Amino acid sequence: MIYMYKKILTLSLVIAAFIFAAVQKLYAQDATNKFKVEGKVINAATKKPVRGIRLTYKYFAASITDSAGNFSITLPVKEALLLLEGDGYQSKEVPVNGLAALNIVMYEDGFPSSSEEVVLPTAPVTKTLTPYAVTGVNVTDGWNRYGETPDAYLQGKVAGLHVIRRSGTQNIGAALFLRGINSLYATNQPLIVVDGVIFSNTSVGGSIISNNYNNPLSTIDVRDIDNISVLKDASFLYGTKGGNGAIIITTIRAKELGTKIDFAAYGGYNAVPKNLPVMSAADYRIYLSEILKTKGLSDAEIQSQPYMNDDPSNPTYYAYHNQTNWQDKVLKKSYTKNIYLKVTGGDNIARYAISLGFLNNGGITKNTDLSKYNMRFNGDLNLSRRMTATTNLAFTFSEQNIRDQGNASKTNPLFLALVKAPFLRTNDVSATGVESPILADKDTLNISNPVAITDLGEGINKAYRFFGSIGFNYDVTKKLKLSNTIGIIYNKVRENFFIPRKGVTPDTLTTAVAFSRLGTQVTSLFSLYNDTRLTYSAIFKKAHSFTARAGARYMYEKTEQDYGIGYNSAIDELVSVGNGVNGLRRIGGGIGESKWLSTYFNADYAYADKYFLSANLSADASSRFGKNGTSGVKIGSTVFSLLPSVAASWLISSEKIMAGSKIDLLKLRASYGISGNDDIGNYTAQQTYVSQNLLGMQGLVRAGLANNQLQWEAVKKLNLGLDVAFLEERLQLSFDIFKNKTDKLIVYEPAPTASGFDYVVSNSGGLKTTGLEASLSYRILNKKNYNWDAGFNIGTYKSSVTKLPSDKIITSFGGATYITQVGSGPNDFYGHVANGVYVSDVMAAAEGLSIRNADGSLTAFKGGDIRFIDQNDDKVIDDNDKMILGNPNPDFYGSFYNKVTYKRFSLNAVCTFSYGNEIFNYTRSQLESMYNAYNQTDAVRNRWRTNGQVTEIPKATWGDPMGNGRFSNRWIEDGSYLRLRAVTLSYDVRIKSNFFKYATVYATGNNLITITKYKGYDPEFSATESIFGQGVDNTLEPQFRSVQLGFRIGL
Amino acid sequence: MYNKKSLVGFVLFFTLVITGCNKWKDHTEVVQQDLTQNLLEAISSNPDLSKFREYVGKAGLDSVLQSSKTFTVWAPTNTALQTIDPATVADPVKLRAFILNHISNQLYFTRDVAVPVRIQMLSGKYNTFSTTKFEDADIATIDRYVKNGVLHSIKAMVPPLQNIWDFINATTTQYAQNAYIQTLNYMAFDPSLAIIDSISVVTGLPVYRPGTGLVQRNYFNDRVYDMKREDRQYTYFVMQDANFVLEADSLKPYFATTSTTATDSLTRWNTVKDLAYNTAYATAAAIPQPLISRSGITVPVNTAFVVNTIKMSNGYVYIMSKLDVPTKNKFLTITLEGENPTGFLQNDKTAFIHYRIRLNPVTSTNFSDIYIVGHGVTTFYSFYRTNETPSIKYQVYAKATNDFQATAFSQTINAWNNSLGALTGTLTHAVPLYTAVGAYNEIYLGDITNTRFGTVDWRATAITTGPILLDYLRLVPVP
Repeated sequence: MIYMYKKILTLSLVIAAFIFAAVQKLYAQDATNKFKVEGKVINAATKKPVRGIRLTYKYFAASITDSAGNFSITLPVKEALLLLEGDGYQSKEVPVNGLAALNIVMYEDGFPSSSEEVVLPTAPVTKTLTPYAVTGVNVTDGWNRYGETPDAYLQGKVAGLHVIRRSGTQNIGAALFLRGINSLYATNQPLIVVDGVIFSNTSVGGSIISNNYNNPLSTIDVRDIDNISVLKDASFLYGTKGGNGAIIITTIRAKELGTKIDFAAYGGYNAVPKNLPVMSAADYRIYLSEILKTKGLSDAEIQSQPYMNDDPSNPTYYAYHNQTNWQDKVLKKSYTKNIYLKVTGGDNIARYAISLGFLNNGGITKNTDLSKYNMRFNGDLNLSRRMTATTNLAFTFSEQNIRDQGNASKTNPLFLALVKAPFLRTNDVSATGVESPILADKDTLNISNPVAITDLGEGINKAYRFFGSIGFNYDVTKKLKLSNTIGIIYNKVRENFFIPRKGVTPDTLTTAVAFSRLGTQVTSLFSLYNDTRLTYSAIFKKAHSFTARAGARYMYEKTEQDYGIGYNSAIDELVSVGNGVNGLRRIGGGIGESKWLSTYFNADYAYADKYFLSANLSADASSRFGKNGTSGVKIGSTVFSLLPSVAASWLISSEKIMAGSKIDLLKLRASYGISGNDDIGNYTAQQTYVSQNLLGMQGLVRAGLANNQLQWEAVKKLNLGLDVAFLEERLQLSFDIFKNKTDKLIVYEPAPTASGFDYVVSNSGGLKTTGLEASLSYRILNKKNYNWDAGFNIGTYKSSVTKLPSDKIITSFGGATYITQVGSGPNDFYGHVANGVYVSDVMAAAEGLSIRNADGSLTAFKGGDIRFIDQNDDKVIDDNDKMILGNPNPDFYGSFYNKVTYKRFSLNAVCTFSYGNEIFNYTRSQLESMYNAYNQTDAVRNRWRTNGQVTEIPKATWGDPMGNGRFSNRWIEDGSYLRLRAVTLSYDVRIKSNFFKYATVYATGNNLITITKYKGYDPEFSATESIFGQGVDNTLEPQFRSVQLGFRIGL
Repeated sequence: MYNKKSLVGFVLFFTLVITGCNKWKDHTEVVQQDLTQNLLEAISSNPDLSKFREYVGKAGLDSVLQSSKTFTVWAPTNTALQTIDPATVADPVKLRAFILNHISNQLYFTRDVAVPVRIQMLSGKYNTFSTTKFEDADIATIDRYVKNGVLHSIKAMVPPLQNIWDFINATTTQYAQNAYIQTLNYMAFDPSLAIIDSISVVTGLPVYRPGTGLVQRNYFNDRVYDMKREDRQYTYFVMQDANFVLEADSLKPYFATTSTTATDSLTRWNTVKDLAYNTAYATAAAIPQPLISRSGITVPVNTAFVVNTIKMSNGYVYIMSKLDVPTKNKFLTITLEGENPTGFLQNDKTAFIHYRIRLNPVTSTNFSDIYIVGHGVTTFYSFYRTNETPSIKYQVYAKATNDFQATAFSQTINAWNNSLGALTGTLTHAVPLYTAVGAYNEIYLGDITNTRFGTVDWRATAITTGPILLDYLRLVPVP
């Protein structure tokens, strides 16, 4: 490992030295040449000449096209990239290649060009000129995707960025996996940087409302974004925070001095997802009478149940003879509205960009919704000739009504709606069938009334985030620049929940029964960030560009979580936590604090706009690292990581031999380096204590074993890439292959028994992820009145564990079991393999399989039980018969889009897909295990009843003693899907007024069509941040279809 | 041109999506056609069960067999139903009971009845189902499961039978024994059947509506076995009148009272209480010898005197021309443990009363006794009550061992008949010293004859203020 570091370090230093030497030499040889280029610029669609296109070559030469589109420019060198810019047109880098005459085709603004601007950790740069794998995202369609958070919005936009929306809940965002998995226990989410400041993107302490997630990215409105650059390998400069790549977000800035006002208003409709096919009241009652018999109830006891009495004169007849579709009672269509205003403008001294937004978005669970208010004020100031400043201020407030989701079988309204007996009704009913306005209590089968949760329960999340930064740039000399950025984030989330007594099944606590449940939580996050940097840049001999940067970043983060959970308020009208019984109240919380200091050095060199070299080095110290770390370097008593990297690219299309070629762009890229992941826990390296109560005595106990050698996970990244553009740039291809190898992987290493602890956190694992990604965009039609763009991107990755301190790690989440073992994937599903159902007792007896009971005795499988495969042939089905059943990682994923423009109409459709990912359908496992009084899907009508019946569904048995419903491949499903993610039709209204500059009308449909074999509400969800938990469908609010209409006017 | 093509493609794609997207259908569709049918449809579709189907309709049970519960139907085939009693068919009530006797709730497959199971039918009666038989009917076809149950067909019909209680009530004129049992009916109050009018503010107890909650019960059912119960099986012996009177009268000396009626009633009760058993003996040969009745009386049944065996829904009735229970069998030895006294002469002497656990050195086992000393009351006694004591001579045995003082002593054992209000016998019990030979054996004290049926207090009495010591008294009746 250390050897590797040294090797890369040496290589980087050698390259840096070479660059310096070359620069010195060139400086001496600087000479002047003149080279005149003439040509014509035409519009790609109309083929007509374009006037007013600005042509520049660095700061050496500039020109502009005349009315016939002609230009003439004199360059100091023969090999150069000309930059072309013009209002309403794309920016374009054109290689001169020693040609004296150039005919250039220009596309309109927004055309997916290979010379788009991307933002690197160092500076914004034209994509053509960087040796890294970076994707810029065109955010113009953000105007018609108003309900989306930036993370969810990124879905399908970037090859290699796998975006999995957490659920259909408003604001909840998405899990981002950039190039797969790099860590088992630390985060796999890429670093988010907003306007040069690292954006704290963690949900502090989690939510007290089951399976909710406080998504910090939801505080950024997509329309407030100018540019998103996704750095797959260019995050090296973020040192121990860059291991998972980075997403750089740049918010709105005024580009012109004139005042520009954009106003948009929208309204929309959210549709209810399609119901799962659960049994009708009649089928359910037949099932119930069977399952109750297996519970050991006598016929008389079963017949005495109120729901079995079919006599209409019976006082409870109307309470138990209904046909209620509980899903319809809980899932509700809802409406959305949004207003957004953006103003930009300014003068030579100060420019500003202001935005204001209000959103009200209904949820699909009854009585849930989101209200959000956001404002942003960004300023650019020219303080003096040499000094400029930027300010960014953003404030967001949101208030959301939500309910429990996921594994909360007594309080998740959606889950309850599926399992609740359909013969019951939502409200109390009199003996004569008159319905009362009072909601029904929990039923005789001990299942909560889901409507009591949605109507009487509460779940409120109020979130505030302030984000502010100030940046200064000072030009010390023409070539030397000093810049500094300070950023502050303050985030506060206040949550309350209330689960009523009426209608809800009580929970059992250690000393009491919890009838009503109440809770409140406040979490806060404060983050201070500073980045100071010295930049030297110069061009030697008109062809050698050289930039070097040295700087330091500092980040301080403090989080606090305080919660109180109470129980049993006197009446359901008392909903705040203080009303709970004093003796049962639990109060807790936590504080987290971390400091990070990163010093960095970077050198970029380019020759003749053909050869590009880049070298980086970062050295990080962090309060999280152990004091006795063995990697990196030690300065004083502080351990610094030392993470070097190099990158190079060759722009072949700028070579002379390519002059006049049909290939517009041909570029080879390569990068290699080490990056890190510092998400190792604030205090894991230190000895900590927790309070513990023993028989009423309070004391402190050790919280675990300190590992003072704990360090960052080191991710070695290799990337090779190729970019090509043909046919006057109409067809563009990009292809990348990568290999990420994580050393010093954080693992929960089993501790010796004598230590008194189960495990110690150590850097003792290894993980490798390889993959490739490709993207293509093609302008199929390019005519005056209409054009058609199509694009496609795809990514794939394969991870395997290379090193572990133990032979395997078994992890459980929501009924699923994962295995992690060397040579296999990091999160493979691990369970039994079912091979149909025993047709008869004779068949079961012939196979002779059994399960072992707790007392060691064996119970044999019988007819109607699941025929599990006995892998080790010992005739006992136990843990040793488990196998890998699949994994939640897709074989490949990506998207394609079509955009058709006809005159003033524009139709834009994006489809996303994921292929080959497996899902553990926990929801279906509860709906087909037939082990209690839960309502089941229609499939259990085929349940096995007696010898000779051939079916896939086993017999119904109360409590499932044979484990027929255990975690097995019965519940593992193909989670592949193809989704029409967003389709937008927009129309530019013809405006003759001087007052209005333009007006556009939008109609957008989200998630309109999803093609999948998955038997659940929706195949896309992410229940946790951890990789152990991906692909478990634990009954979250599903994705839903929505339709939105809106207009935007410009003043 | 291009647009047209893509439009067509788009429409095709949409159609495909909308029509072909029912991924659940394959999964949830009912795969076997039978499972889409209910029992009524299943019965209707079988031509061999057409008669049964017809009767189901006549009995108004169509809706039951279509309902969303689970049932098992043992449907007699058309051949089996040829012999149905026309009276049953003509009477809708009877027909309904007949049909309901072939239907049960829940699913019963032949797989579940490797050991024969008695299953309650919707008629309330129980029938026995085994892999080959349904009651006495052979099974024709088995285990056809449909949506709401399972259908078997049987080769004979199984009409509902009377239970033993019905039989007793129906044959009071024929059998004096049954007529006597009927006289044991009484009315009782069952709060679960009564209507609550209000809750008393004074007592907090419910106030029931007058006239509600009254049910008829019978002492025979209460104290012997409940012959009404369908979920149990019994054997009931009926003596023909001559034998019954003879048997009852033979007991008269032992139930001496002041009234002939009372004596008659007692003798009859003591005759019938040993005539019902909670096991069904299908044949005379199956009856074990001897039978032990619920009250512990040994009853020898001479199967030669069985006149008739009648099958009932809850067991069998045997008509006996003679069922002679030897009188000596009728009375049981009574053991009164010294340490379990009913009471004492006076209640203020607890300080002197000791309940001891002692070791019998001969047998090396423990025994418990009562030991009263220092009470200072002349003729202090502890007494042991026997109720419904027959008027019979008892041989009295006693056991007590003096292990607390060197001086031997005696106490008296006497019987106080509460009805007479007089002592009916007195015996002296010389308590042996523990060192004496046979000190730990019981001693035959002599005989006491109880002259009047009723409650008797057996007293262990001190001589003057002497000690009382008693392990047990054993009373052996001598008819």
